[in-house]
Amino acid sequence: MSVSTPLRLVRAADLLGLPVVALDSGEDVAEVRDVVYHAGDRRLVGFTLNKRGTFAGRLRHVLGAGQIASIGRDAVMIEAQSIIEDRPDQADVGSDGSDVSIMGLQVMTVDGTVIGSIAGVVLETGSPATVVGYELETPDRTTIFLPIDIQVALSSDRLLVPENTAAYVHQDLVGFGGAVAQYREQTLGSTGSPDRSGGELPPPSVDGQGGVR
Amino acid sequence: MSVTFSDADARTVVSGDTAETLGEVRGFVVDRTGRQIEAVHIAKRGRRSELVPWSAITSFGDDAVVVSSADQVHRVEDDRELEAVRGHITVRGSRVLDADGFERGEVRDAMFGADGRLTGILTDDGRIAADRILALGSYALVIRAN
Repeated sequence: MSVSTPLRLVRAADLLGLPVVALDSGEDVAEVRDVVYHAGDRRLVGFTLNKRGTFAGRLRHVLGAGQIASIGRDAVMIEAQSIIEDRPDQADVGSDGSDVSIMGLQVMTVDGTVIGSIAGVVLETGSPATVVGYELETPDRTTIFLPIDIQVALSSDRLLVPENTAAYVHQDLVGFGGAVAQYREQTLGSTGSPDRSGGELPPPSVDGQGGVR
Repeated sequence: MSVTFSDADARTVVSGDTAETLGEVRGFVVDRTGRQIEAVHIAKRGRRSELVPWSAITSFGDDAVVVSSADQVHRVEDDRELEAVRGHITVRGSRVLDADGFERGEVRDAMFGADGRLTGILTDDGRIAADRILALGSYALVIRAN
């Protein structure tokens, strides 16, 4: 029986400021400052955090994607308050100098047409949460969504996508969920995982901030 | 026996050994699991907030709450009690948040049994059995998702 459950998608930018709440205490231990995405690996690294409260500043702790119990409309849930309290001196993500933000990066098809620039990433909530798409701003300033698996090559100059990308582009998140599911079905090979080879140039270590600052 | 928090409001608290009135019920200190009453917050005109541990309550009667001894009444002793007395950690009025990160309204009332264990809560969305409660903190009462 193949009943596909609808994908629960959320724009990374919509997570900024959400409280991070511990399942074992009901306390809001932090809030989401930014979303950290590794564009080379197409992987959600996690969230940088702010303390809660009016005069609160940044927390050094970076909440790894694996430490997130779930991402909801109203809160990011973690299993235990100690996840954040126990590790106060963690280094910043992306401090090795080789990181490039993908925000504003040009998106071009392999036949040389610019279709927009990256305005954010789209996450599929769940445990663990994954990045399933890019949010793009088109030259005429409309917002479109693009499945992440469609990526052909990535550099610090641009993201290259296939010619037929238009077939997978959607202007709203609901339709986009269907496009992601459809794209996955079409590209799932005998290996059971999406094909991620496809002549990709070796990408630099690129970290991107999903949030809009 | 099942009593609601709102039924218990302002119920007279009586000492079982001296028969004097100790005050009236003002609220409850509920533990971090959100399922067990640890103490009853009592108030008396002209006096600071005081607490009675649940273990000292011999009867939660329809007309009065009877405490084993007047000696059992104490001032605020720990952070949990302080937060409860100040109204920062209370079941009633608390935001309800499910484990998936979705808000499910607010707690309107709660029911508890003779052992001080909560049996359920009433929210804007209806009744929720206590076995779905995961934690109670200053931000939210967290419940298992459906």
